[in-house]
Amino acid sequence: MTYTAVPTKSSGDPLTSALWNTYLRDNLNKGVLRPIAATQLGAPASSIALSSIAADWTNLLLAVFARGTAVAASTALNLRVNGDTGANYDTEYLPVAGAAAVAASEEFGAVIFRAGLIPCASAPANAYGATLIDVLDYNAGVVERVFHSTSACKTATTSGGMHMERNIGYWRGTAAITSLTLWLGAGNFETASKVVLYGMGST
Amino acid sequence: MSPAPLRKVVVDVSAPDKAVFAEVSASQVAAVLQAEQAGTITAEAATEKIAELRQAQKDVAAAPDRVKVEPLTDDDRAELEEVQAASAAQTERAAAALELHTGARERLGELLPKLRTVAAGGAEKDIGAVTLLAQATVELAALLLGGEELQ
Repeated sequence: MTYTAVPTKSSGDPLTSALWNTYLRDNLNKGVLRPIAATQLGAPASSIALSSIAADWTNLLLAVFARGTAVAASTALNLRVNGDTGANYDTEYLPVAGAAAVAASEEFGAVIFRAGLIPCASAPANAYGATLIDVLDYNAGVVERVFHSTSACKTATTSGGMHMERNIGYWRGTAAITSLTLWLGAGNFETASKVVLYGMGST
Repeated sequence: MSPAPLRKVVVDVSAPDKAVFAEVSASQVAAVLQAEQAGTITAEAATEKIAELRQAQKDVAAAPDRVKVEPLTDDDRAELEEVQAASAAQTERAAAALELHTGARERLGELLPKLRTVAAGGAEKDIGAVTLLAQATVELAALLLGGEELQ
């Protein structure tokens, strides 16, 4: 289904169910970036799972606005797919902070996909991390699923306190992705952490 | 020590968003009543449509909640521990890689003045091979250090 150009509405034109379904429902559901699930924590939680993801889209975008409760400056944000606890995740990531040297890291056959970094209890108050995770072709064909993510994380207001992390990952499973679960390296997700899942496009 | 894990949040993406549905459904009922009053649909059609909408409201109300907050099971706790251990190991390896890289740069920076001295001494004494080797090493070190030691 492709995008249908929306005509100009004249005064007095009724918005019929046919028009609604064609120009609003179908376009919004299939032609654009559309939020399909969102949750904001009212209290700390150890994990946040998005389950029963339908195969309605081509790509998924997961936006994670989060802070951790661990008594530390930061902790890793990790992702699991379809509840797979096996050694099926390959990751390459590049943490950058301040003007210090940069060293990339790789993991093969890990049990998690490292998706980024978030601030924790020792970071400045009210500083949450923002991570965007793209899940490309999450349900098409029998292929390994690929992730891209980028994180912004502030742990201090002095040099070295601004962190950026760029990550890519492969899940060796080839099934359609129906659930995504976020876990932290330590502690819980803090209150007010928020996750929004978007569906992108449809073929 | 970080607080003990408390609970998990599970969002069932396929479940209806009850708040959004209630709002949309209420506006649909209002629109049907307005249409009936305006005479664009018959009273019978309006009654039928409203009955459909009411049934849909009941179905959605009976559906599972979209967002569930649940205590961790033993399996969840085991998974959490496994994830945290794996994550800590990854972070440790990344820190070690960075330390190695940083250490190499620092050592290179320490060696650079000595290499320059050798290069200069070799040139003064016209020792071609020594000069060439030292100069090449200085250039290589400067490249690896990003040019910051070229000054």
